[in-house]
Amino acid sequence: MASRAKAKQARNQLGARLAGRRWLRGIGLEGSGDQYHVRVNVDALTPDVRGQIPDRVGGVEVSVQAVGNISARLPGEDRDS
Amino acid sequence: MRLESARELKQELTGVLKDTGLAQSFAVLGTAGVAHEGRILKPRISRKARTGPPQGIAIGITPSRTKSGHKLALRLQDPTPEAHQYAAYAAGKARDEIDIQYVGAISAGQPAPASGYERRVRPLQPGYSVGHYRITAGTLGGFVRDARKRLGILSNNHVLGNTNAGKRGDDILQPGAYDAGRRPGDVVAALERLVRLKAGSNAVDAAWAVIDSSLVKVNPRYGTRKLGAARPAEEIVSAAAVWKIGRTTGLTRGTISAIELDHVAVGYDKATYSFDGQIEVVGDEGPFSEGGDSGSFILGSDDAGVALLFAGSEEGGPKGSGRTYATPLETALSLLGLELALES
Repeated sequence: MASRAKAKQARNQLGARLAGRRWLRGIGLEGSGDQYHVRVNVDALTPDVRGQIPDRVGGVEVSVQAVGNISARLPGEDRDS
Repeated sequence: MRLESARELKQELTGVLKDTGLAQSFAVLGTAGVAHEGRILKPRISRKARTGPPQGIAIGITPSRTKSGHKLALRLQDPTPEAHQYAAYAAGKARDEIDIQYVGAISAGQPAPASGYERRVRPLQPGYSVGHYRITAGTLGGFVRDARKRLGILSNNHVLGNTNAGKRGDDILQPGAYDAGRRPGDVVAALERLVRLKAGSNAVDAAWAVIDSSLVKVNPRYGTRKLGAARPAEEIVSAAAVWKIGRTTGLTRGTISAIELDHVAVGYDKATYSFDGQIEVVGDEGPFSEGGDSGSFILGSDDAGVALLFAGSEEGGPKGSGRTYATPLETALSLLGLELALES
């Protein structure tokens, strides 16, 4: 765990590395108080995707969540994009 | 892989071969684990002969973007170690041409019960159905004022602005058209301005519409609660308790599960847009939001204005009920040059 500022630096570093990947659904901070780690959201956590995400960046832990597709919350818009 | 190969592999993995006496060993495992809720479970090498999937795993075939056209689809309902081990085994057999997703418990589809927030309401009140006349319906997030002190409604671009297609002066209905709102009787406001969604990075999905306050009265309370000031974005913290009232799911409570999320890819009717600086919320009991809740304000446990809800995921979150995505309310207000109207 790291401070919010340090975790944010790690998020920026990893975000620059992963930007543009089709399976990426978001990269942010998770934690509580002033203890944070980097969270990476992905479409589906296949072995191939998991292999592209490090366990730590700049000394900050990285966790991964599979969230599927994200869509705007209108009736009838919860579909594959 | 080719469709025929996918079918053969599916048949093998579903244990049909067991009946033909060609039982396959469960010893061939992939080198990487599969995950549930962030935990990576490394598969253990097992010599125990296995033929079919454990209970709670569904196997199918899904189109793939590769030239060969198809891949195996594995859906896990219950994240037991046995299920993870089986998924890793299947990934090895499919040579990673597999789509593995945790979907939570699956039940027979039933229409969502009415929340009560789909109906017509006067005076106007946050949480109820609203929308541009050419869309289905979203949620009236809250009331705002611009620099000229004009009263208006704040919600999403894809709710009030018809996802970039709306023009200044377009009719806004309460309830939205999906909930039988019609022109001219249900017109309550006119689209004033939207933050255009664009390729590249977006900060917010937001728009506002001006209310003719000589004709339409408002009640700014969220149920019986009164909205507080907007919380500065840098003061929004992970693990904080929040709540919202939305058109579809009504009152729900949840927890901020991530903050400062960049590269959030959100699918709309005609395009996918990327958002930076977002927050993520999970429901405490079931989904925090569903389709139709777009535009809801998310409030803190102290009733401060925290965020503007606009999207949700298919998976993840407690019981696989999905995750909700929202923009710090302060960001939306700032980009549109608005302040909250806390009194009617």
